[in-house]
Amino acid sequence: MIRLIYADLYRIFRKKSFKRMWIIFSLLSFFSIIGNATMHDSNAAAVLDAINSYTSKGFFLLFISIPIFMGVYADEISSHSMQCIIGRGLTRNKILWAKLSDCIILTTIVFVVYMGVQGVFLFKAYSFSHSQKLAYCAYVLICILKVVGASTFSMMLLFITNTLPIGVIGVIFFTTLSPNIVSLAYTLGVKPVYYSYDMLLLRAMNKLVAGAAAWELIPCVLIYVSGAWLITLIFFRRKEFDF
Amino acid sequence: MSEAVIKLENIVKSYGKHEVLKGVNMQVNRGDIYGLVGKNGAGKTTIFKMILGLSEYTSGTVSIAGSKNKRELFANRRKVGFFVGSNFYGYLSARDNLQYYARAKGIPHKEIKNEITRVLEIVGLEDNKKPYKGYSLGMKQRLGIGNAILGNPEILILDEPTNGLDPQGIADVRHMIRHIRDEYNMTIIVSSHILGELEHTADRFGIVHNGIVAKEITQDDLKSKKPEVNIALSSDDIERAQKLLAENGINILHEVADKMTLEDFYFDLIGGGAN
Repeated sequence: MIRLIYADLYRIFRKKSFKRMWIIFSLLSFFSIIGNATMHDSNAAAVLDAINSYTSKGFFLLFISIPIFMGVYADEISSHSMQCIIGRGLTRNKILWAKLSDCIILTTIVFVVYMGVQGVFLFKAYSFSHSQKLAYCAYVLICILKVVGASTFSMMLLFITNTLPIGVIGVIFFTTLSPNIVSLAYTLGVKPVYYSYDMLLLRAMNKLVAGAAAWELIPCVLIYVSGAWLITLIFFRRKEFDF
Repeated sequence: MSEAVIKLENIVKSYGKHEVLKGVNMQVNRGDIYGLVGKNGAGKTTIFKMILGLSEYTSGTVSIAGSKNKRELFANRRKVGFFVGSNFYGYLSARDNLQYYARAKGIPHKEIKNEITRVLEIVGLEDNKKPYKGYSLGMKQRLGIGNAILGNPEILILDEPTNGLDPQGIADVRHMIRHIRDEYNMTIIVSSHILGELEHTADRFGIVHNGIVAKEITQDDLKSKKPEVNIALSSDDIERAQKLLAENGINILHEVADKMTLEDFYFDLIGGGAN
């Protein structure tokens, strides 16, 4: 399983379109944050507000969640490489574990590198307090969970339907549309959305930024991400592969 | 006695009420090149899927390299290399694609570079650096075979490796298969519906028909003589010669007995053919 993760990461980092999108995403978000901060108070609080805005709405995250989803899950389906891995004796649940691990590792690398480089600049340019630095780290964590969640839910759709466009539509929906729909529904008084993945993440983000512990992260990971993974496994174990 | 490296016993595969495989029994011995022939939809590819675990069989047993249970079967699948069509990433070069599979197969890091160079030399793609999506069909087939032999597996499964190739490409693949078996002592199962082609490649053959391996034949069977005999006549007047033949003895120079071909066995069994 570790070999597959190693091979997958090697492959994805060799993909030019993935690196291009990573750079585009980083520049777009960086200039958006700087622009937003400059237009307002031009201080650390304004910077954090700008980050909060793009983290919550998720539009910029689309520039990185789609390449991650394509690299980790969709390329396997379109290239039929999964058949080669299964035929070499790796069990299907190990393959799915490897895919989830790929997604988490890759997303973490992408955000830690981007937010790290950006953070060095921002911390120098604006005077961040200790709690503001912690809030900045909280945003990194929430971005990672948003992308991992959107990719995993879309993986479920992709592996069940075996249709790439449905997977891509899933990523778009779970990254950008779902957070906005959930917020709107909550504003309109639809109570069940209070326990949706997006709302749990939003509440967790607010708590973490305020310096409090966020229990909401536990159901996000244990129920939503693990649940999607388990549902995928049920279908994936019985899946017939064509050459 | 020959050692069985692939053994299928009474394999049944059903999709609902439809039985695709109806009790396949097949044995491939160490060092064999085993040719699996049959028309489209006969079940050749389904047999490969059962061996490789890409589809679950309804009943029966599959054994690879002497495996006695499912755990051993999974473990022994690592001894199998296979070519089942195009399984590569379009944005990677031949070398990068093989790098991916070499890592996934667990080839030690120090050996990867040399192993890939060896394989690319065998399949004749050592100088190619462009992405896979720009490859011709022949190059794709060759890279597929290269991936199959990566890491020097004991058993090689090739599903229609000459599909879509021109005569030169077919001859190259045939030569490559023989070379791989002789040089690396691999056991090879190869399927094709080009019977004449497979006849020159394999040592033993299984004819898949109606969801079973209906007949197994060897190269010795192909060397046996056909029941009918052609007689070469020497005469300026054929009609007269025929007449004389009918009446009495004529001067028969020599008998030419055609060898049985794989096609003869195949069409004897399932009917059809050119005649």
